[in-house]
Amino acid sequence: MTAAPILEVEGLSVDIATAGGTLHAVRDLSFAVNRGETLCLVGESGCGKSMTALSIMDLLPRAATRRARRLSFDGQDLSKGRGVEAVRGNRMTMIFQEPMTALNPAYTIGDQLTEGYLRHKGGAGSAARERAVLLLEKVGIASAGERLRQYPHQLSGGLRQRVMIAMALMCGPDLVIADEPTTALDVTIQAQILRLLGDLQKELGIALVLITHDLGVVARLAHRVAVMYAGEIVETATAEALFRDPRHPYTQGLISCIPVPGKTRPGERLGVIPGVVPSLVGDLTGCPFRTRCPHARAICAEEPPHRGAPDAHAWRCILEAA
Amino acid sequence: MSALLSARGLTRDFTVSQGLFKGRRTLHAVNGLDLDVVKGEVLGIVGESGCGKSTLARILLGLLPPTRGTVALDGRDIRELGRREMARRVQPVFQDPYSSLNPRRTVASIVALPLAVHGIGSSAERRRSALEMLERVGLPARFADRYPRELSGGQRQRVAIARALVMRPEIVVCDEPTSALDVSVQSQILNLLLDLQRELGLTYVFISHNLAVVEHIATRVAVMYLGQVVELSETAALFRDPRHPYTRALLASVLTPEPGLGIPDTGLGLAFPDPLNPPPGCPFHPRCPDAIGVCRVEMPPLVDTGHGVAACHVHAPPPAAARAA
Repeated sequence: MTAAPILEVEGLSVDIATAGGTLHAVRDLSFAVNRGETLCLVGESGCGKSMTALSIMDLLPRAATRRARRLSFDGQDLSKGRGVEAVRGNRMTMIFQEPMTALNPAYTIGDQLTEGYLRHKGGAGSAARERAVLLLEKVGIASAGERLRQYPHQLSGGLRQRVMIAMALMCGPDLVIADEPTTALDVTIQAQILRLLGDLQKELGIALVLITHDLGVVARLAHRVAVMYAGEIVETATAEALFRDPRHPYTQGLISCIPVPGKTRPGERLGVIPGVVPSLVGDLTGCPFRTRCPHARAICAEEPPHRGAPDAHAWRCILEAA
Repeated sequence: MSALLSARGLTRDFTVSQGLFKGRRTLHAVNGLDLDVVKGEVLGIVGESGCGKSTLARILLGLLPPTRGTVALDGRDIRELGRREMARRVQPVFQDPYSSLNPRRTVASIVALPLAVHGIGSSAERRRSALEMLERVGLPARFADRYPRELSGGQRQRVAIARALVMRPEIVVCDEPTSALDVSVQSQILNLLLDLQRELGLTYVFISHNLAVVEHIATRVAVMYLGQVVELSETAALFRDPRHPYTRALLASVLTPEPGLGIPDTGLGLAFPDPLNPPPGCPFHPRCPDAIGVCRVEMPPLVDTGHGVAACHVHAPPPAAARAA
């Protein structure tokens, strides 16, 4: 990859004020998204993956504050002033998990598809509607002209998510962030939507940041993967390397937990990760996984070293290979 | 194979209001379904939202009377058995451990409640039984006097399992027991359920939309679509040789963590099932890639496939049609 990354994140932290103290949801996170690649952020509930997405889009809830040493989109600094407003919904868009709540029930599909386009690109309403029809057809929705006059409740969950995808593509973005886009959908619909997303990503050459808890989705769709735990990235690698040769004990644990038809024997014991995620309220030092790690030693109370090559396969652990 | 729990011609209708001016319609959540649960098995039930699997669970638990049809436990109609007897022998574990536990009771009293309802033992004996069962599901005594809000999702699901087992039931109906949990917690709960099944000789009805989980835990699988069983088979055979196109699409949708395989094409169109307006003929035909003329008019019967039953005009044709062809 010779061109500069489309998105560069360096030292991103998100703090949330709670009754019990400050919760450090994302802690000193750094990663980059190359043009035209699919990067998966994977982790379990509370690992900070959604907060990372929202903080890039500057859509954090009011109780949360963001700090970053560097947050740049195509070379532009997003962290200062109103830098994000020109690109958000335009060159950088988002697909949310729940298409029922992400769409406004009181407006037609057409109004919602064209709103952002008219705001960012201007021009006539008719041109915007033409583009909306084109994109609805692109996401596989038949009789698109009629759909524009419909309301969200008239569409099934799968169709709504297709509308969300069309909406994210209206302005011809360079980067789309999809936060668990298929988690609320049935499995056959999930496969259809993911296939569509993967095809569009390739065809349009957009960069896709896909946030998910599902290792199957990661393996099938990602070029590169960042595994998150307790607000940190603990391992990054290509999807191929991550599943062939996982290095971080958390990644290894996660992979061993899932039953795989044809691989795990029915009824045999699945891998487990004992214990619970540490509290993110207050200071957390050293390796965040050490309380649950089968390889933990005293030295894990200190900051774990960076291992591997930052651009290829990298992980943070005292061990070269667990 | 004698059935421990057996459903015949089960139908459950709901009346659904369609808004101010549209009147009411009948939704057949479960529609003429036959099902046998054999002692000692783990019967997996898979299907997508709206297929009636949770309604079926509630009927099998005796929590919801069927509109038509019967459920028999050991050959006796469950209406004759009564709710207490049913509750003693068939117990549930529900999906959401956040809403299925009373937030104002301690863990020990939640688990002991079924014993109290049935008037079993003294209060001290009930507490002892509850503690024993909690220990067994991996919650040591220090959890006994905590409240559900102090527990993680996985720990709550362990409490729900302990509550289901404290009456020593024969059958446990698990409705999406791990769907709300993270994968690392899901594996703990699946391991626990399998251990308990072996140790206590339990029979499970295990409802899930996750086929990888069902493949792991179930010995037989029933595939449901719009209130009906469309295929039922031994688990390994179903995964090796699925007959119904819907089963095939479900299996194709399982995303195993194997990089490079991409996202499979399910072969399904954009149509989605509407339980309020089931199509004539085979309920799956609007989405089916293999549908032929007869599928649009005639409901296919369940036919022996050699390793189970399937309802499909194309891939499991009834013997008469096979002769004609």
